[in-house]
Amino acid sequence: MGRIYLTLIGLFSLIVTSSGQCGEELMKQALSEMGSYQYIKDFDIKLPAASSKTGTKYSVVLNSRTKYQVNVANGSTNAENVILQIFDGDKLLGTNFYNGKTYNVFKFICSKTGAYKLNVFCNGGTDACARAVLSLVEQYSDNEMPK
Amino acid sequence: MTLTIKNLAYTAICVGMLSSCTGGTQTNNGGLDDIPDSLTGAPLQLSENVVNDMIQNISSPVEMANQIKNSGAGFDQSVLNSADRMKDYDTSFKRALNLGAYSADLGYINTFNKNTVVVSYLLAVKELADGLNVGQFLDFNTLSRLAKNSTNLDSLKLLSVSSFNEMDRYLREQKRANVSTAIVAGAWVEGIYITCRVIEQTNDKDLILRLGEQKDIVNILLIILNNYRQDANFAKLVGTVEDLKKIYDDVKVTTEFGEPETKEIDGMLIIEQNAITHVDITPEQVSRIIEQVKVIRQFIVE
Repeated sequence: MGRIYLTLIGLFSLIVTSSGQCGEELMKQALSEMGSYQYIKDFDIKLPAASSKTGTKYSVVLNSRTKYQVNVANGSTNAENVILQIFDGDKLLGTNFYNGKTYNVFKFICSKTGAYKLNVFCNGGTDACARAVLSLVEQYSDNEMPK
Repeated sequence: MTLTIKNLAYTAICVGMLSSCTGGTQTNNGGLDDIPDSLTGAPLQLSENVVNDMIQNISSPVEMANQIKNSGAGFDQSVLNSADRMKDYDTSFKRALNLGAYSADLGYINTFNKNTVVVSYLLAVKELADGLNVGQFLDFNTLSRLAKNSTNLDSLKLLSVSSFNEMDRYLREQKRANVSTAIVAGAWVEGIYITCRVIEQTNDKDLILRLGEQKDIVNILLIILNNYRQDANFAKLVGTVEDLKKIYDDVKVTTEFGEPETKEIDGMLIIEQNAITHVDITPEQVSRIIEQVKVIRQFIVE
C-alpha cells in the first residue's frame, strides 16, 4: 500500500514540476485551505497581463438559504492577490477586497436561488493565476435564515 | 490526518488527469458517436461557449442531497436507479444521461455515508464513463479503496465530485458540450427525482421550497437542451422538460431585494445578500411537478 502511495505522489510531483507556480500545486493548496466544508466546484483562474485588470467571469448557480465559502490560493508569482467579486446580474453583492485588505477566504450567505457571476481580476498588471474553491458551509431552514 | 487523506485523494485526481493527457484508459464500446453524428446537420442556436457557460448554472446534486439529509429523511436505496441497469445503456445518449443520474445517486449515497452500497455505483459510473471515453477521470481503484474505509469518506466525496468536474471541464474543452449537457441533465433530473420521492414521504417544507425554486433552473436547462433538439433523442427529452416548464410557469417565485452587506467577524469576511425569496406553490402544483419529474426520470433510466 505504501508503495502505491509513493508511486502516486511521485507521479503527482512530476505534474507539479511540469506545471510550475500556476499548476495543480495551487489546487492542492486550495483544497487543504478549504477546511472541512463540502467541496462543490473549483475555478482554475489564469489572468494574462494584458487583461488581468479586466479579469474573467465564471458562472455558478447558488441556492437560497445557504452559506457558502470561497477560498483562493494565489500563484506565488502574482504581483498582487486576485480580487473576486460576486454579482447577481449587474448588481455587485460583495468582494473579497474589504477595508483596503484582500481576503483569501470569505463566506457568502445566499438568499436567492439562481445563476451568479464571479468576476476575478488582479491589479498587479502582470500575469496572474489562482485557484478558487467553492464549498458548502451550511443550509438553513426557512425559519432559521439569518436576519 | 484529514489533510493527508485529502492530499492522497487529490494525488489520485492528478494521476487521473495525467492519464487523460497520455491517452488514458479507453474501452472499445460501440455507439460512441450517436450523439455527435446526429448533430452535424444544422448549425446550433447557441455557441459552445454560451452552452458551456450555461451548463455551469445547473444545480449541484450534492447540495440537494445535503438538504435531504438535513430534512431528517433516512437513506432509501429504492429511490436510486439500479446499478445493474448500467449494462442496458448502449448508446452514448443514454450513457451520458445515466452517467449523470448515477453521479447524483453517488452524491446521495456519499452524503449518507453508505459505503456498503457505493462500490456498485462507482462501477456503474466507471463503465458508463469508459463508454463515453472519459473514464480516465475516474480512478476506480482509489475510489473503491476510499469507499471501503469509513475514515476516508470525506476524501471519497471530494474525489467523486472533483472527478466529475474534471470530466465536465474536459468534455467542454473537447467541444463535446452536447455530451456534457446530457450528463448535467441526467444529474439534475435524478437529484430532483430523489427530492420528489422524499417529499412524497415527508412533505418537508424546506424541500418543497427547494423544489419550487428550481423554476429558473428548469428554464436554463430547457434552453440548453433545446440547442440539441435536432437530434431525435434530445427532442424527446426536450418535450418532457417542456411539459415540466409548463407546470412551473404557474409557480410564483418572487424576491424582495435588500442591500447586501459585507462585514468582518472574528477575522472572517462575510457577505450577506439580504434578499428574501417567496415561493408560492400549491400542493396540487407539487403533485403535478412530482408526476412530471417521474415521467422525465423514467425516460432517462428506462
